[in-house]
Amino acid sequence: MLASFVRFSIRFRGVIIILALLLLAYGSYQVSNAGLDIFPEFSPKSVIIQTESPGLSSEQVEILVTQQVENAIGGLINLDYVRSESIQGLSIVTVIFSEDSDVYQNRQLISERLVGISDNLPPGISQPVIAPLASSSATILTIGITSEQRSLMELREIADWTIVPRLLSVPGIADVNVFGGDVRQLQIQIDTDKLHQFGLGVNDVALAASQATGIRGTGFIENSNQRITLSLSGYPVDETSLAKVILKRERGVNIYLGDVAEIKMAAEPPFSAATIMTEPAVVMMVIGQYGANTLTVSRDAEIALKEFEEVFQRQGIILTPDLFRPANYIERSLENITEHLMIGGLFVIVILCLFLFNLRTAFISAIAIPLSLLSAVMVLLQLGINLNVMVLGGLAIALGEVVDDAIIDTENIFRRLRQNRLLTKPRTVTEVVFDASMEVRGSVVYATFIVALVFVPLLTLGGLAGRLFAPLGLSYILAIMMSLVVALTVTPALCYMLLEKAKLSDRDPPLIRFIKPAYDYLLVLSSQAPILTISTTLMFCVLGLSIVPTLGGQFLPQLREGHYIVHTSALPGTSLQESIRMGNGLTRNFLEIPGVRSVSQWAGRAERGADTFGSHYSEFEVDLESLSGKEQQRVLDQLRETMSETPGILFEVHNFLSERIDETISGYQSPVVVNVYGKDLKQLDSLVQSIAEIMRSIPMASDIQLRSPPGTPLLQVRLKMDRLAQWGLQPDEVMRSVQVAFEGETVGRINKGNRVFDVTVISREEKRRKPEDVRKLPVRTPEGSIIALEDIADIRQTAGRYNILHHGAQRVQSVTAHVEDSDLESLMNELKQRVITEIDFPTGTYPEFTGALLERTQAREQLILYSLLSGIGVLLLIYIAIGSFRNMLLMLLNIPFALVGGVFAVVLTGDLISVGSMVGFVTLFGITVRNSIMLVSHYQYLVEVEKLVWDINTAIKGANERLPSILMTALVTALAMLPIAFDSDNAGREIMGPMASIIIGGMASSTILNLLIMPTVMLKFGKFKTV
Amino acid sequence: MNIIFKIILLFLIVSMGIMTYSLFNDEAGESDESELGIDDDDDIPSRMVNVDGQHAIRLDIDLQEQSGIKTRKLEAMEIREELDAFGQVFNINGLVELRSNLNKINGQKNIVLSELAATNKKLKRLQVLHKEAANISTRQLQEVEAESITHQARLKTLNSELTDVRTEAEQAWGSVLTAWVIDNDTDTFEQLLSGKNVIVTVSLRAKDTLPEQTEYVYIGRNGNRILAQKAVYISPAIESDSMLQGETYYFLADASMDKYRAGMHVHVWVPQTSESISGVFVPESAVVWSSGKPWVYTRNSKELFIKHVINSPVELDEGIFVAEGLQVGDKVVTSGAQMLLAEEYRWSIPDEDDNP
Repeated sequence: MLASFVRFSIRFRGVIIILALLLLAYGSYQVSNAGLDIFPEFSPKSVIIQTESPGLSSEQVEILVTQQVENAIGGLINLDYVRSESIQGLSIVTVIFSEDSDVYQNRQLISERLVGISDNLPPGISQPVIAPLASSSATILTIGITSEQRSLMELREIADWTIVPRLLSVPGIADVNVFGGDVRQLQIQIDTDKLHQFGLGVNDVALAASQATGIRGTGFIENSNQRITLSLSGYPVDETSLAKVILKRERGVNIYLGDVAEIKMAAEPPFSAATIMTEPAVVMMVIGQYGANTLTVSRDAEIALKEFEEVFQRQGIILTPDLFRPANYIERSLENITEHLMIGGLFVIVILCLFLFNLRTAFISAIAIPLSLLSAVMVLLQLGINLNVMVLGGLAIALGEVVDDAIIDTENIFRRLRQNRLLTKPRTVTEVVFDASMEVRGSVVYATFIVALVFVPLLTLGGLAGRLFAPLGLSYILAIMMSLVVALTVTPALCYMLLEKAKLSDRDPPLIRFIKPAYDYLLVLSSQAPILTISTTLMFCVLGLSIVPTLGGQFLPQLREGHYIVHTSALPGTSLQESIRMGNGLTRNFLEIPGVRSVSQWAGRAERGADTFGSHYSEFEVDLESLSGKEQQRVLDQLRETMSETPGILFEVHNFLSERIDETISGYQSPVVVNVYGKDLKQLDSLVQSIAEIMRSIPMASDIQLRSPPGTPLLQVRLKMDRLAQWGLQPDEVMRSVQVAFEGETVGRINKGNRVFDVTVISREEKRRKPEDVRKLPVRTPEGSIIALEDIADIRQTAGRYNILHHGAQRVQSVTAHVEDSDLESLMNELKQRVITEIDFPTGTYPEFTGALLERTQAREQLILYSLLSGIGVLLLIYIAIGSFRNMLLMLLNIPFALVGGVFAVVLTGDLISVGSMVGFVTLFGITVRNSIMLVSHYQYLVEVEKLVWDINTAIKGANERLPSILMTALVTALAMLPIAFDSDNAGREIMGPMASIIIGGMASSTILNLLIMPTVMLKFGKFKTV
Repeated sequence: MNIIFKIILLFLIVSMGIMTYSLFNDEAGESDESELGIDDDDDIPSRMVNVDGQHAIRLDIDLQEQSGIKTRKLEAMEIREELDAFGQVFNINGLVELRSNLNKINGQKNIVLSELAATNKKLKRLQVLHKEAANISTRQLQEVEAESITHQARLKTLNSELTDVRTEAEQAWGSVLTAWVIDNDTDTFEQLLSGKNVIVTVSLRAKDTLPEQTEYVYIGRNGNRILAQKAVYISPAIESDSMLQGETYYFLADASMDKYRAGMHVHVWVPQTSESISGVFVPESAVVWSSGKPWVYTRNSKELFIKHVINSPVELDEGIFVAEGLQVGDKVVTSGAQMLLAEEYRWSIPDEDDNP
């Protein structure tokens, strides 16, 4: 089949070349139009359902809302598991679907289930909302507005009514989360003292207000001729008219709303607060849609924001459009990578020219590179995979193989053509090209499949690593497959066309002529002392191996995005005001660090926002000036130092993408986790307390923490039913009074222009500050007397829960720990045994032992299994390619030595082993195996086809003939990678840098091995049989 | 097979094995911290120290400044424990009516008295004349005698009317107010009439009792205790508030300050003890609630902060009164108390990253 391909290509070379040119043109067009992103979509297939439950405590949210939602979605197809968190005023249910499910179908299924759920929710609770389908990296842009002349209420209004609608009209933007500012509403602020005076209750005011602001449709009248619409106007639409709404009439005297309440535009009780450089501000986080391209969308959003610039300037509003701009990093990376690719490309051309010393052959080899890579990209785009750093990485590391494919072919054809011309009776060019092509083809095909197979485990990686690195593996495999196709078609066609009548020197190119004698000398030297050569090799291997266990590991290297995201978490129950006060202190300290450009903070959460934290939680956007990787690390260290000095907070500093990845990882970050499932929260609390006690007594465990300890300040109002009966009150009346006074009740809406504002009845702010205000809340009895809430309820301060967690729709309480030394297994065993024997689990409760280390161990086992399977496949293929078990084993000796170079490179560059480095090793393995197969099969060819005797001369001849292509492949790969490996701690190079340095290091050792050690070993131990 | 080849083969297998294991094993070597789930903040040393058996937080001066901790010296305060009660300005129309009734009866009584005196004089003269000269007929004498008896009867009636009115008034308003009206305590009543003073009916909650020897209470129209004014005890009221079902009393207050008018509802604060309690005033910003109790942090030395529980706090408008546990001059943290609480309970701050 391969033969017919090659034959066809030589015969219809014109067609093939035109097709290739078309492909080049179309591919370039496609690539120039494709957007570039940093990472592929890496979040799991999940749907987040949020239900705003104003005024409910976490316990109430859990029972009344979360459980209802969980029940509604149970048993969906493809559902993996459900987890939920109920916090004060909000229920968040996260539904994780299996990896192979369809995102849109999942959302569809959930929406269908949620349709009728409102009937089961308590009154006043809004319909559950599915969080917008955002891209994995989510944030497209973070912007903010501040003003010295405008109030926070005006700023918020500008954000909500001007900026956000405009941004939402930009294609690719899923949502805008708004933090800070004051949401304007018309508040009827009740003066409870006045209620006493007039003998009125809070509920009377709420009722009157709702009757006054309820807008009703009034229908129409119709006669035989016309239909006339009825419209009612004159109802209260502003503060003044609402103040005139009658509340009570007694002995001919009216009491108005305005008599007992102050009616004014005021701020809604806030969910969040924000600052920019310590100035109160409104901060907006622009969220990208699933699959949207960060670069394109953020540029579009910026164009939209530009429209406001002038108007805002005149209004005294300062718009900061770049509190955080992820596109900066992409642009910088792209710039860096383009530069490197240019330099790398230049290196490739120089090497090809130097080694081949013939412009035509150099051109044939060089043209194969863009052709293969562009075809791979086109296939990827067709598969719906966008270009991103990972895909580019895959293409970059495939460069070596791609070049190799082209070089092996071209170099062989070139050599055979030269040899043919020396013959007395030269064969036809077609025959020579075909034979020369076919001579190396078989082994190239095997080598390609072997390398592809080596990358297969990368595609099977589960979880986040899989989602991040699978596109890399896929683009790599596609690139080498495409390169194979190019080598089978375009290369022979071009060789025929360009070399048929070319002037071919009968001598080797000058560089080869220069290298060959030295190489011959070295080869003879090493083959004369095979034991010394082998033992030196072994020594290096032992040295390399002894280093491997000391190498550290990490998931991803530090990305140099020029931006850090700082999280701080204070004690649950901390007010927004205190969070901002603490944050301002931090901001001032951050700004003193040289290199920090801007700092903004938000505390709390945005309505409908993806993040669902309480007022104790803050996030800071720390944007840096343009700094080198090293400088960015210094800033990071200083940020950490500042934070660790600040009392009363837990904190984390990440760069944005690591942060997103961190948030995406479902499951535990703590190595050891014990979950206890059950129904009774108190029971669960005491059980985890006992487990924590056991953990504390195990010396290996440290940093033991309860996941959601009860400790949030809570003012418990417990109604006394006998007292209610005495006064003739219904519980609901009392609850409503409390709700109206402290949570506020939205009784209606009014429009001003095209803006709609809520009308809310609530206590005056100074009457909502102290527990005493709750105790003294006036409640009106049916007989008209006014009593205080404390007369009918027991009001006590206790400790409440910040959140209640569910896993698989069951209540769960967790205790987490870290492990002092790495003996996780014995710790787990001891813990399990002691927990089961020492703690008496009541019926309906049970423990689960899990944790990040356990999850990771399982993932690793899976990876090892797949690696073993693909390893067996590789061995089989090598055996088929070489046809000799003995030679195959000898060849495998290569691998440790080739990897040793990579290990030394890691040590030299001081990097940690990341998943990227692993990919580097895998690539190295592929290239080495490939070179070895080529060498061994060439020896086989010499013995079997050219009937040479297997001795030192044949070994030297074979090695000599392979020398240019092995050297060229190694140099081209290494030099193409060099700019990326150099100073890899900078934007765009972080992931590929370590990979590149491993490949470069490995190429060095692998080349020495292939050129010197392999021939020696083969000569000493190899066996080739003449057919 | 060649022995060297076998050795190489063995080495190959072993080295591949070790390498694969090492590369796949995260636990080898020093790993990036985040990889093992160790957060940035896990290695921060605790700032908790033990001072004389008490937990304290140690923060150096620079850090205090950086984190915006501010303290304030506690000032002395004296308060009396007070009960909350309700009051309504008393409508004195009833008293005025009583007064006018009384005046009417007294007028009539005066007329009857003078008539009786005149009649009695006349009777005396007629009796002498009738006895000595007998130029007065017995009939004439009897007529005057009858007239006198009539006057006496009217006087008796008026007297009993007066007694009835008094009893009725006492039943309605109590003896003291009645006495003001009936016994002509002109000054007090005049001031009531002129609107200079008002009577406030104070109703206690059903569970409360007016402390013995209460001389005055504080009243105010707008619930602001600080602006409240004194009202002097008059007497128990006869009727209770049908809604509150508690004890009721009359108090006399100066009407001019708060422009009290009859029927107005007022707030009443009733001192519970006759002697005031001394303590300190703690500003609202210093108080943090934890485990169901209010606490404050004091700076005990330049770098040490200690948490104190506040037992039986008295909530005031802008803070709380504390009688025990805190001394005048103690430096209480007014900015950053919640931060110190968070530092003390840092172990219990949930790690937001750990999701089940």
